[in-house]
Amino acid sequence: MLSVAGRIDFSKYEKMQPVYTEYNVGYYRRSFNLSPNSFDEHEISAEMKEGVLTLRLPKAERAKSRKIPLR
Amino acid sequence: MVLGFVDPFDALFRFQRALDQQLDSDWLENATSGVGSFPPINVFRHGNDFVAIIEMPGVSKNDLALEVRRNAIRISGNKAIDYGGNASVHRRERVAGRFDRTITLPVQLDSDRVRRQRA
Repeated sequence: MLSVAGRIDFSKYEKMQPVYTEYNVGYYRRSFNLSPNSFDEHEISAEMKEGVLTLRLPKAERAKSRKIPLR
Repeated sequence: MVLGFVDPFDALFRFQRALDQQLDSDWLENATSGVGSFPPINVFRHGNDFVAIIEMPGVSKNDLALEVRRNAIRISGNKAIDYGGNASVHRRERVAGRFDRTITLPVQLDSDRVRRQRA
């Protein structure tokens, strides 16, 4: 199971009176089921750039399929 | 007896309810935000100023244009997604492309004093 959760800083909304709103702000969480033992847990990396989170989950060596050569 | 006219108070109350519904948005409530126009905009009043907060993750500064004219702000640009060379997509929730939105405010804006700030 991979979970991504975030919290926001509400202090910047103090003294701000909403006059027109299109989206909600708040804490968030999403979870994804990963097949067990398929990923190299120690090699998972995360990068945040311009508000976009990129997670890299390298496939574990044992989970890689074996290529069958054609004769 | 006047026929064909609705009760003026009824009309007034319906108007009032319509106005209240406008104000009663789902701000800070539980709902998904992944619907509607891109980019989503929230507008606040802060003292004498208006603050428009616009969410556009993944849009680089060079791909964004802001324009102010009288009481309108135009936000346009391009959102690009680069998955890199030989990636295949299993699930796609983020979309890329050009966007162009204009919001109008009920006041004249001082275009020289409009400031932009990236969080």
